[in-house]
Amino acid sequence: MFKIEKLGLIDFQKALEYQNKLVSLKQNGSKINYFLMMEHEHVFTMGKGANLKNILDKNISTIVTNRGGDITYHGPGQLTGYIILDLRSNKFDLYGFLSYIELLIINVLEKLDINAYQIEGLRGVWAEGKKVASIGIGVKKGITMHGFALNVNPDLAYFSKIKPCGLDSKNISSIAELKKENFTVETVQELFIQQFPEFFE
Amino acid sequence: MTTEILMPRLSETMADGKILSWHKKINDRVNKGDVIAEVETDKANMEIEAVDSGILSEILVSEGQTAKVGDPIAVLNGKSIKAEPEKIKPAEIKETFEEEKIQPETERKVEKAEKTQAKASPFAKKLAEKMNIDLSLIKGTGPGGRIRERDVQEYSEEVKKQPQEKKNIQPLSKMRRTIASRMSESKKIIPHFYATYEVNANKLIVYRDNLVKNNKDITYNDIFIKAVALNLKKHAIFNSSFEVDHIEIKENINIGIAFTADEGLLVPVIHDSDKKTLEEISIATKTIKERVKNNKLKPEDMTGGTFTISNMGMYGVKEFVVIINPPETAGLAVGSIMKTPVIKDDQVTVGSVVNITLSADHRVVDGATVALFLRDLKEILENPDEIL
Repeated sequence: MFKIEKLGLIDFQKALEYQNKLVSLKQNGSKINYFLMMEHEHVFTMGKGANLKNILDKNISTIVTNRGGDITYHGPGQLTGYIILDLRSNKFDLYGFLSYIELLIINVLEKLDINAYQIEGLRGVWAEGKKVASIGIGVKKGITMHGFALNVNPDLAYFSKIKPCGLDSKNISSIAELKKENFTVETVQELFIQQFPEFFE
Repeated sequence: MTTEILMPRLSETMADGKILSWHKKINDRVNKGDVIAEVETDKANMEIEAVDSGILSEILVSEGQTAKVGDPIAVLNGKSIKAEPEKIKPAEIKETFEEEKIQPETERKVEKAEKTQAKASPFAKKLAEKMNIDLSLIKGTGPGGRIRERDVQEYSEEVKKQPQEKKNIQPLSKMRRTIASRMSESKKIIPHFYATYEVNANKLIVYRDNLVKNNKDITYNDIFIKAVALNLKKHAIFNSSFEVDHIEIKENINIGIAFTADEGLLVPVIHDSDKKTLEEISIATKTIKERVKNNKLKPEDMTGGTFTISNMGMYGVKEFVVIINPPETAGLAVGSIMKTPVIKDDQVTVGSVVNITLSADHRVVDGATVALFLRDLKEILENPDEIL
């Protein structure tokens, strides 16, 4: 069973504490899975295996966290979705789970008439040759956390301070840029609520 | 008892994992279920839990390094207690500064710590790493054959002088890497053997032509899937996998069909092939082809296969053999339908034949079993209108 929660605009660390709390509830036997959606205050985060060379602007501060992948940016206008579920009891294969998150996003983008796709060997969701959503998860004793970050209409200039996931920031796009019109995080969030059960229930 | 901790397979197609951090130190007590390390694979940071208990005596893969699935990454209860790699020991630091006037005592320490590697000074090692030179290729001129910085320099000059062979290097795509590791694993582990039958395809051609005439867009592949699925119901032992001490016969018949894709091959799976009609199989294969084209394959389209068919008919291949797709027990290679002289009632006539070759795991089945499987499959394919 999934509980979908909208956390609004929330500090990354606060959301991380909340995720950790839910993970430990599940480690202690709670059967409820969570799908959390939110926007973060401006923040740069990186996985533990990140390459420091990917920080271009040495003045920015970053938070190292237990999600897979390299450095990325989160901020207002970007919808982040975190999935807290037990991979083992839900019989999800790890790569399959990552792929499902991408397929969920692709389906949501389809509703907005954006033809998005996966690229073999690269994670994330792509459209018109650019990356619109990044994927990165952490798994603690079989319980997943973190998830995806989909650019709805963020200020993409922030990405130029880094090499997001090792990519040139020119390769990052957003729904607003692709559609050439403004979209709100709320609209996209509603689409996720509709599509989510098809993939994860 | 000494136990190796191996890089676990965290996903069906995982090839390797990068150690992000160790949660235990050398000499720490490890209890079964303890988180010992964090590993990164494909954008996931996974905690690794111990499956055995004991004292952590050796860390073989240090933080930031990558290990293949199944390779040892640490040792529990080993005899020698070694220090963690990559942490410079005081003795070595001392060595760095006293490189020129070698002290016998320091020398011995270094040799002991590096028993398995080429003996080299830290400067030499650093230089070799920078120049991407394998130290074991260099002959040292230092005491006891120890490699000095100068030796590395000389070696690199030497190499530069040699005429360079132009190499066209093609990096492996992820798919290529997966295919490479799975195929070598299969050939290394599974004792393959093969048998070929020639199938008279006259009726098969008429059968398919009739379907097409009735506006049913059925391919030969669809017919082969259906025929093999039916045959697997009778010969369930071929729908199995060999496990360490037993054979697991699978409940569902899920036939994978090898398929050329952009840079390699994909094996999408038709689940419950035996329960589907030919039309349903045809729809399923078409849907999958569409998904391959649009990059929208779902994970379940690719997993759970129990038997794989590979058809090279369209390339005019007469017959060939497949490498078994692990953990399956067998795979079928289907050649081209070809016109050939056929002896019928002692008269030479022209007929059509197709060669089918089964690759099977000899740990599970023997020659006679394979012959029976192929004989029955031949029977189905030669009388499709009666059986399918």
